[in-house]
Amino acid sequence: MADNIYNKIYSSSRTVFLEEIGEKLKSILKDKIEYIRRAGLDLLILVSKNNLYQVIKELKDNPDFKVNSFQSIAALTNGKKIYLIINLKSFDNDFSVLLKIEISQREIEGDYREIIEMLAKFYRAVKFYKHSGRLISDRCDIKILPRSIEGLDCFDLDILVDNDLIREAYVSIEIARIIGDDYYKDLKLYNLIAYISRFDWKAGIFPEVCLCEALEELLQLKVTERAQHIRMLLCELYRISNHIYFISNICNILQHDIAYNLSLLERERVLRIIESITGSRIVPNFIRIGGVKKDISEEIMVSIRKSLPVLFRNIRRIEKIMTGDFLLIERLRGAGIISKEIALEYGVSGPNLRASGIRHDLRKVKDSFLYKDLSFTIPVGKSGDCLDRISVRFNEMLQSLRIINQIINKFPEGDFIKKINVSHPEFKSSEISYGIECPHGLFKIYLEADKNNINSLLVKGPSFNSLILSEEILAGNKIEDVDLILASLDISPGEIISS
Amino acid sequence: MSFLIKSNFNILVTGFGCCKQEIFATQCSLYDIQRFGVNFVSVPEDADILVVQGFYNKKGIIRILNIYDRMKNPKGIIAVGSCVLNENLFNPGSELVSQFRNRVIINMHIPGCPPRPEAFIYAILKFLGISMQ
Amino acid sequence: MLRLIKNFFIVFGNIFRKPHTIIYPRERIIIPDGSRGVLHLKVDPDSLEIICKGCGLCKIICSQGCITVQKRAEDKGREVLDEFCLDLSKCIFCGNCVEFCKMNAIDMSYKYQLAEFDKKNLKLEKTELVKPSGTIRDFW
Repeated sequence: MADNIYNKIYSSSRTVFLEEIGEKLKSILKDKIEYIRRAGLDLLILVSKNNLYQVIKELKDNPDFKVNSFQSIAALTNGKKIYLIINLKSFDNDFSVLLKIEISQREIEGDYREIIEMLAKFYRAVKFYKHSGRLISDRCDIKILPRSIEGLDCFDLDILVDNDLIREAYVSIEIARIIGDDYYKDLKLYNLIAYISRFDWKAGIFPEVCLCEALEELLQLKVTERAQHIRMLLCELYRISNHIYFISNICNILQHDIAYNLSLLERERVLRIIESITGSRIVPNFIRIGGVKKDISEEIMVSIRKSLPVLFRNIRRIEKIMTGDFLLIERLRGAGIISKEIALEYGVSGPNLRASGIRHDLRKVKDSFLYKDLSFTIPVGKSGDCLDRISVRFNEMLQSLRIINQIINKFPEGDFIKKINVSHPEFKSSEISYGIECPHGLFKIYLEADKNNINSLLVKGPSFNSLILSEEILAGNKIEDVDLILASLDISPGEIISS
Repeated sequence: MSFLIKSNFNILVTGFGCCKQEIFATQCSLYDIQRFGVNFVSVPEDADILVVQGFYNKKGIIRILNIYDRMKNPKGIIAVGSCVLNENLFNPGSELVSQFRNRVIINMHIPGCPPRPEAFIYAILKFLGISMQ
Repeated sequence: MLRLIKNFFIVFGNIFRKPHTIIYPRERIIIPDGSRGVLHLKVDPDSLEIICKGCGLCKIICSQGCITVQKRAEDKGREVLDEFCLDLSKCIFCGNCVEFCKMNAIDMSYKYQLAEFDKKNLKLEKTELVKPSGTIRDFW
């Protein structure tokens, strides 16, 4: 009893909430599950394959849980055993569940079709996995191969049309399946950190931050305030660079040359600050377990302080140019509308979700970073069309500049890294799932470790959900808007190769 | 490579990878690669040079060879990044890339992971035969 | 009318503005401090000898296996670097070798002008790695 009260006062409300839900689940599904425990952000439930149907039915239909959104499904190997990890989320109650199922090698080769058929009864989004692998190329009307625009280059698109309206669209990611089974097995931790930023090359810092924070939570290590501030600074800088690259992509498709050139110039300006801090433009390799690689000097601070107003002015200028152009606005308005319900059901996160009118940002929800000390607002759209998605990102950039301004004004003194023995770490717990708000949405890592090394690692980027959603929202739009709608979802190819 | 000097020079970028954004960053007005008569095109028949970068699986390699066959002579290949020069970063065991390297003649190698936009322009200038000094 | 005057001043200002473009053969971009380029073997400024003793730690650290190091024993039991080869086509410029080097014998130069017609030229030997890359900011 006393323990319970103590938790409620001193721990974050979310932790208690998750544990309460876990206990409720345990009492209801007593004999159907093997164990249930908390792993980082999520509840991890080990289920046998036979009981899976009943467990999901209970989770979906019970009003106490209401797990209504499908996030991801992926296979992972730990030693000789193969597991399937299904991630489901409840937006009403704000918690997410990982279902872990042991399956055989034969089922993996058959793309675990049995389980997917069963999941498709509950969640619409799963139908992507149902048809993937055997596309309808022979009876489709138009086949669109990968284009040279960034983000649209990692999948094929098959379209069935009625005159010039799209009836159905099918996405195939066959050419993006390039990842080997165990690329991370032979790697040491420092090499894994150097590698992992390729999973999201539009904003390379976020996979690193996510991995390092997950490992820090396994090691139960607390990072100094200065290191956290440096991390936050880099995260916001990369968020700006990603969003402005997104704007340039949209302008490239619409052939709007003025905004295209101006936005690429601003991107160079941001990347220059990033390079002076980390030493590389795209793949920083800067975050370390327990801190960051090197300190930020006073010179760089001065240069950031100087370029902030310039950035602010120029981004506002680009926004003004784009919103002042009525041709552009008419083209963007009403294209590719995502409604609230569909966005939630397909597990979309990040700016795409916010553009359809749901105020959800992990920076405000989670309290591992020091975002709670800073004041910023979360921009929200209304209708969820392309115009909203662009304006949300513009506003987010301005908010990021505001955050950076606050960070550099109260930069704390102290150490930037806690020295630990990286080659022989000792992990306290065995499995963890960790998430971070990256520019495209919720970037997630699930890893299992024994005492000294990582056994299995799953990386799940948010772009994959956006890609699944694109099948749904392309229907009913015109053919000439295909590129625009797909680009406005801000798909990062690096996240698609990982899943 | 004297045929390419002082001529319009069309480039087709294939694949997906980190190097792509750095290659397209050369279009921006800070670097402005169009000064040298270099254009980025999206149809293989128009292209003089194929830029190969990023990750490929079996299907991707077949597609690239297909694109290369459709290009008109004279044609060349620029390989960008360590994924093409060495091996796939996330699938080290696969020999697809080395098979690809044996099938075609690669005219220019740009190391880096990813190389900076400047390195790409340097390679193009070397191709065009414009002196560096 | 007011708008016309406003536009006039914008155009007038842009006539005298410096262009954003960096005209390559004449101008050079100065890349920021600490940017990661090709490896550079440091030389002791007093004795003009290579600091690296060839312990081979960087070879173990490197995930791509792009460094080959060999040492040889000279008289009086002193160990000298015999061979140091960097394969640029494999290097991913992560900078871990510099971070882990105990002797502090290597650093990353600013050299980025890398493109070769022949892949064999991308293998850099000791003599080329010792060379400071022109000025320290040999870049454009």
